[in-house]
Amino acid sequence: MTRPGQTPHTTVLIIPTGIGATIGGYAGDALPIARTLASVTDRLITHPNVLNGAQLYWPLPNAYYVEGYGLDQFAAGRWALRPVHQNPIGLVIDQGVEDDLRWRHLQAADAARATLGLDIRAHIVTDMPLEITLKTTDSGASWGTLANPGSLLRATERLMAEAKVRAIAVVARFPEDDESEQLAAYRQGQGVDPLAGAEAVISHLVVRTFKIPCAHAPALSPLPLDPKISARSAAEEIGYTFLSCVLAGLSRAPQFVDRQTKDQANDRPMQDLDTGFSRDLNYIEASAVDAVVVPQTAFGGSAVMSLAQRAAQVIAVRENTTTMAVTPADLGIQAITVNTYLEAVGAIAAYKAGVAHSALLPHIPPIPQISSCPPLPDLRSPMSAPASGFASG
Amino acid sequence: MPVSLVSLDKPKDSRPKQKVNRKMQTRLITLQVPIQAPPSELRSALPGSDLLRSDALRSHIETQLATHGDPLRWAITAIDTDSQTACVEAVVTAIAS
Repeated sequence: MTRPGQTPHTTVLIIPTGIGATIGGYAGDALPIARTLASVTDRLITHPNVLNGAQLYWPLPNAYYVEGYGLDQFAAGRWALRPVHQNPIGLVIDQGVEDDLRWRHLQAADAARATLGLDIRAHIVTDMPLEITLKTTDSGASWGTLANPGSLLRATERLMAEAKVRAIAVVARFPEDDESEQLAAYRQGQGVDPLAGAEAVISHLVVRTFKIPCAHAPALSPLPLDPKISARSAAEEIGYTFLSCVLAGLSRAPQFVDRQTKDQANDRPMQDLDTGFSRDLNYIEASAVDAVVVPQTAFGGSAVMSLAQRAAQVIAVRENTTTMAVTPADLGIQAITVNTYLEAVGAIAAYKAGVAHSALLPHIPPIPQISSCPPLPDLRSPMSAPASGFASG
Repeated sequence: MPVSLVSLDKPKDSRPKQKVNRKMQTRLITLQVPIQAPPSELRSALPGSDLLRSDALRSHIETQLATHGDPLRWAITAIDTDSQTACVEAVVTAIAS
């Protein structure tokens, strides 16, 4: 429990998409982790790959649904997050989506309006097919490109201008190969999500251009029944679209605020990013992040590389393996390495209780001694300055 | 009416369509980026370490990617400890000539 006067404890949970994360690399299968973390932290900031489970989702009042590009900008201190009560949502549908499939998505949107009460204001079909191409690189990560990104941006611009929407859901037609080994493995809860990398590129493009929340749902034909589907992938086997979770997430996704614009508008000096205090309680800034939780081999992403230098706890989870090979040690990041997410939850609970993580271990190491500083140089004499800035003894 | 969502399929007026980044392309690229700080660089990862601090390395990678286009998504996928370089995969956007 946060005491009066304390800033809310804030945790960022990152499980990058398209890198075969053992937990979170499939159909919203990191959502149980998000639900658990949200019970020990005051504010949980995470991204669509963690919270989206196709037809399934779970509203968490203290979770903030932040698209990956926006999360990178937030972590770098360039953008702040402004929580909202609700967002009017616009739906962009790729011209490459067939009629039947388009109707299925429009009906999913109507269902979200009627059953969940979401404000979905308008939809638009792109003026050209987006033509998604999927790629898997040597690292094993899935990536993708689109042939007509301008068409996506034109559609988004019209929704914002004519329907005044403040969040964008994109439905793009993805290429299908029902016989592919990669798809078969994915349905068995193994390997890399072949679509995920391209999905991220689509939403990143909209967020980078318009600075509003965006998330993507792929349009795909239903797959033949397979009784041996993995539980981790099953959420994507139970309906015609993956759109419901996207609409639910976007409906309360925080808006992005460019810190430079905000500070100019407020006509006040820039806040010191390292003070740990947000000047304006209406915004969440990177300086407010207390903990960041990341798979142990996925420390090569932009957001964690930024947050690793300012969060009090950087937690690396060993058992969530990925196709990446970048550990905290590789980048000189001081992290708490734990085996499981259960331990990560415990590490955060200990921090909130004011208990040092090391005090919970069977062996408490002695207090390390930092070697004595060499005598300070005489700064009045330039010739006496040391060759390097820090003594390394 | 089966679907009550407002459709914006037809332009509202006769304005010409806005040409937003019509020639934009998305490209997948890979880069090798040194992770050691230059001797004059004080933002080292740890005292006594010659690695760039991770946030400084992030900025450095973004600068390197900018020579290929506007970065949309990138990650270090592996570190080559022999050459002290990071293998970076990225998707960038660029305007076609």
